Amino acid sequence: MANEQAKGKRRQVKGPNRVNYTNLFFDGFWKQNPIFVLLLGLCPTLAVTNTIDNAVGLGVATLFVMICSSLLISLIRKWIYDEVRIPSFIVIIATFVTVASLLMEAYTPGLFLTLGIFIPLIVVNCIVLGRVLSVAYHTGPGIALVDAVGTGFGFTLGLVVIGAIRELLGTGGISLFGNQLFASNLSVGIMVLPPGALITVGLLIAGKNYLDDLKTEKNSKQKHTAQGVSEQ
Amino acid sequence: MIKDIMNKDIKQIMSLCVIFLVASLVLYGVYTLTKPKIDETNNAVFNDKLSRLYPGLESSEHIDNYFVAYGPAKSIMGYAVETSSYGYQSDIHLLVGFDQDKTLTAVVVLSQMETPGIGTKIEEDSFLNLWNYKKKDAAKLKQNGGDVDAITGATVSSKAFEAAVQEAFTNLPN
Amino acid sequence: MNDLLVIMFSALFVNNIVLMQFLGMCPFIGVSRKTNAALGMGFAVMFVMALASVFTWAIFRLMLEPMGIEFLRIVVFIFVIASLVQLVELFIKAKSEKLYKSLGIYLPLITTNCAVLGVAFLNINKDYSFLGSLVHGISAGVGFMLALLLMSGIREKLDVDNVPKPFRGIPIAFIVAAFMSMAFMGFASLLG
Repeated sequence: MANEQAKGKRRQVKGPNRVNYTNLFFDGFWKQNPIFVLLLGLCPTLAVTNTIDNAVGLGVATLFVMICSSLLISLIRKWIYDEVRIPSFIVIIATFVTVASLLMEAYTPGLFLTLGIFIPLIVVNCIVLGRVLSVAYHTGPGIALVDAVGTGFGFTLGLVVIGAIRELLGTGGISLFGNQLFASNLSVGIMVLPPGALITVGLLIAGKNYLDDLKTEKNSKQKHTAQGVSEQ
Repeated sequence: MIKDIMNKDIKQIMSLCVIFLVASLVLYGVYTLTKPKIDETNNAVFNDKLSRLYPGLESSEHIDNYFVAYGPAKSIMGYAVETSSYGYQSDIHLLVGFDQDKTLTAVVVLSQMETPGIGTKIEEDSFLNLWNYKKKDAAKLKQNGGDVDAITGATVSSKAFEAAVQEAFTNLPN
Repeated sequence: MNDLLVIMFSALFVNNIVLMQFLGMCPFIGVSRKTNAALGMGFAVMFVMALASVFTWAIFRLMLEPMGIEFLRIVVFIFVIASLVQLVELFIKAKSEKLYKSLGIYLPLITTNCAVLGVAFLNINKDYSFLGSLVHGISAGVGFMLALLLMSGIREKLDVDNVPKPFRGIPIAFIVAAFMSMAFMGFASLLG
């Protein structure tokens, strides 16, 4: 009897909430993309996108930290006092960052060397702290997890897109972890240098703004015609 | 009233301390677990680089600021020095191999983070091989009176490379 | 002395903390719209950076290293910085309500400023001495302020200019920063 009730409850939870989870996940990708919309985590975005390897490396590391931190903080949120919540979050996030750093030092030394100080800098990545503050501290582990995964993937995807553009234009080719996927003689050197990062991100944000503007124009046109019809 | 406020503050500080302690313990655990692998990886990377300088390397010994490379039966294959110099945008770490006559036999790059496609060319064999079998005065860029062509478009990286190599000469024993 | 000068010029120009090393980008984009805010923020960051450099260096070299617990550096450093920012906040609040109000939320956000933590780590990675770390902290702070002031001057003008719609606000700031970064790249051979 209790089992059936529990099963029923579980099915109910999956029903309407399933849509919520998917929405939540894709929010992190486009609507609330941490890099292009929220403008968070800019430091690593500009610094580690000179090659796709670095972009993937840092993105995955950040994703790892986000998942662990959001999950843990959501689970123990009842025991974290409101007034000292920020220092508490920081210590927890810093712990997971250290874990990630040690793991990378042991198992991916090449990536560890090239990413350098940007691995420990994950701890001050506003995205991690932001997600924890606004979501993980106030919701259950399920939602916190999906939010962390969605935002983390959005971040990683953004990094990879920027990295791909910079590497392709800057070195004429794309190589993924030692495998040269594509090569050409194109070499716009500035792209893999600091200015190139700023230009790429600036143009991408402008591009996104443009697309968003087109969408709102389209929507408002539809609204006007609908209003016009109903008023008649 | 004051007691209540004090209690609240103490509770907060306690909770923070607990988190700190747990974090430290967890990290200590992870550190102890990963340290052997970290050391192993670092050694492997280093020995791999050292054996590129001395094919057939059996063992090495770290004395002062240089390394002795041993072949079979502890025969001395040569001496290697680790040096670094700041290039265009990163430290360039080199391992410079010498034979017993203070002639540079080969150079290997331990780490660098120069501009991809430009400064990173210092790791290419076409550049590295230019330094092989040079005595101190020849192990310089052509613009400084030596034998080596700098990489076009990567002058700063090339100059830093030369600086590191020259420093290696000064670190050799006797 | 020569070493210290190299550290100073490197942090100010050749390796400008914001435009070349990309540390401190969030406040750079966020606070650089008005010159007054930029100045206030710049000074606050410089102050925190100098203090943080000194304290983190001391704690690392005198406590963590001898005890063999360097792996705690990330947790300890960020905790030190968070505490320092809190103290600076209380200090400013006590000394000048006006400054406190005008800095607003950006003051506590200095904790998450990559530049502060980044400089602290660089001091250790590059093996700077105590004095070197202090000079590095101050110079990086000045470099940060320099970039911020240059940017705010340009952006104040851009705000009244006719910028194409998709570029308004943030994107044009990035493009401008790109050109500033290019200009700063010209300093590369300053230290020979």
